Amino acid sequence: MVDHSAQQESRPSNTLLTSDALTVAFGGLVAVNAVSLHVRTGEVFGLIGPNGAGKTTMFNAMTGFTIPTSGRILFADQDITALPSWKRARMGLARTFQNLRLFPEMTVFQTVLIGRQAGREAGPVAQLLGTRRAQQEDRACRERAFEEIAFVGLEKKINTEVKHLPYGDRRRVEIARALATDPSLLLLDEPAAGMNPQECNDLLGVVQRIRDRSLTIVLVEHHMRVVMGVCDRIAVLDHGTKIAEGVPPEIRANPKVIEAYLGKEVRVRARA
Amino acid sequence: MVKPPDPPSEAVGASLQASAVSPRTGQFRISSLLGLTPWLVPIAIAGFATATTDGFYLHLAIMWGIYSILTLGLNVVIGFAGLLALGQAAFYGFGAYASAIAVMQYDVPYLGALLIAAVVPLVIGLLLAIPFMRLRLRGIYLGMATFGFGEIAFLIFRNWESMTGGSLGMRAIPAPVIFGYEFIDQQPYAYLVIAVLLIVISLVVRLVNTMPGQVLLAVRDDELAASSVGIPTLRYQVAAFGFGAALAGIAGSLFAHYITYLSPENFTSNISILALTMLIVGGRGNVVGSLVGAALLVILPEALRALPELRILTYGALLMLMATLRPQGILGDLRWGQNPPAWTGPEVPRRG
Repeated sequence: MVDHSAQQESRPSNTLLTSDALTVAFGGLVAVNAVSLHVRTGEVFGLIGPNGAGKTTMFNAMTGFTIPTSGRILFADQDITALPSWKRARMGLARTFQNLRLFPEMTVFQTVLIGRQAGREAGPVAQLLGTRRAQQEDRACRERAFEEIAFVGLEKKINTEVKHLPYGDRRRVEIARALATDPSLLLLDEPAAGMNPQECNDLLGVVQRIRDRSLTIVLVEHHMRVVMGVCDRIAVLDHGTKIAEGVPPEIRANPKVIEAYLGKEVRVRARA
Repeated sequence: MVKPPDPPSEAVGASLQASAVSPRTGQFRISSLLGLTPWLVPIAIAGFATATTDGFYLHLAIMWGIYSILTLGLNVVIGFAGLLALGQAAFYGFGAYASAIAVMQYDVPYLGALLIAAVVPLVIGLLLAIPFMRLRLRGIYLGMATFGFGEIAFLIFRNWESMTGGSLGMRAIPAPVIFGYEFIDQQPYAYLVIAVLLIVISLVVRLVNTMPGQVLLAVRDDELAASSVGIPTLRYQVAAFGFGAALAGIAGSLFAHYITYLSPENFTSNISILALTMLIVGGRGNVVGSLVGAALLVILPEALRALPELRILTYGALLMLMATLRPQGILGDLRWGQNPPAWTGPEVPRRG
């Protein structure tokens, strides 16, 4: 991973993830229509839009869970459009899920250890045989898993089964599992969904600390407060098309965005 | 991030291994003795086989050992990897025929035949699992596909007369000879079966207590989540399927050289369903459970011989009761010998 100096963070220029005229169609329905995005190294990039705007489809195409109809996705200057999700994860592209996807029977520790597995040098056979190198690696993995669990603040619940954790904690487990893969880019799919204000605040803290580790973050979000508070730049999708891109104040002031996203509520309220 | 210093090597995998003696304190604990149950059960049966001279009991002990291996293989596929395989009899049969053919037609020594009995089903299992997994056959659809394969395998055994003898079967399959010793009597045969079973148990316990086994459980619980952290889920599933097929083949070889007569009727879907029942009764994902499930389903039909009219009825009713009252298997949440990774604190006490 690249170490980022302070001036690089203030004026990021190099692109880590690019979506180039990306189109995803399901039969006749065009969910994402020729969307181009450039996520720069070290920034928190927000992807917002009203329900059904194509955010999650866009997200799934970037992480390899949906195959795009046309267009390209570049990650660290490599074309990853056709790569399966597990290969993307190995390249340093990690994600969480909007509707949590955890291993219900496992403890927090077991779950995060799974996240550590892909980056290992010792293969499954060496691990089964318990070679010296595999055992050394096992120990390093355990320590790293603990660190990530402590990072999201769950070290007291490390041996608790995930199914016994409250919702907000499960989100953290997912984030810790993603961080354990040692990613350079972390994509969070609506992390604040279903959270109460307290949990939402805690989550913002976690996102800030991830950013301090010089990770690049893509945040798909619904909560305006989360997006405006934490993102460096924001792209707005509406009906599968990008209608705006810029820093939070620009987005807030953009008439198209107000029309498509924020304005709707106002209009509805005015009518009522 | 700062990495803590490397702990000393004697603490290696402390919680990853079953051991009667705690590696940290050297203290003996009853609870960790229970961790040896997977090996103690077959050793107890071997003791029983030494004590008895009754051919009927020895027969039950041998069949228990063979079915235990078959069920453990199915446990890896269904219990750990979560792949519903309903054609396990096919691999059992491929192992049995491959072993008998190797010994009788090609004069392969028994240990070589046993290896062939594992490799042939392994290869067939891998070749089958790759398209099945790629086509995303899961759950009941995978069940139907593997069931169909079981039926095809039965037809192969019945119709490939030059190799399998067709419906007449193969007769006079010789007893295994290992290092000049002929395992022709039941008692030594029971020891042979239990020795192989102990090796199989060690492999399966090792699998489930190390990360590759943990990954299988993760893939079982959520394939997409596992792939999102870089796990090649397909490879793990295919490998698990192949491993289960290889164990079934080993069981088949031990069966062939014990019964000495092979007929396609030995490998109908009844055997697949029997192995599945043993697995479910013992509990999916439970190693000792597979041994207990196999024992119950070997002993139960014999024990019920006393009431011939009610035998099948009682048997069926017991299975229904089991499924209703103990869906997680007869041992419930007791998984002796299975130690999933747990955080026990940094492995070196850090001193200031």
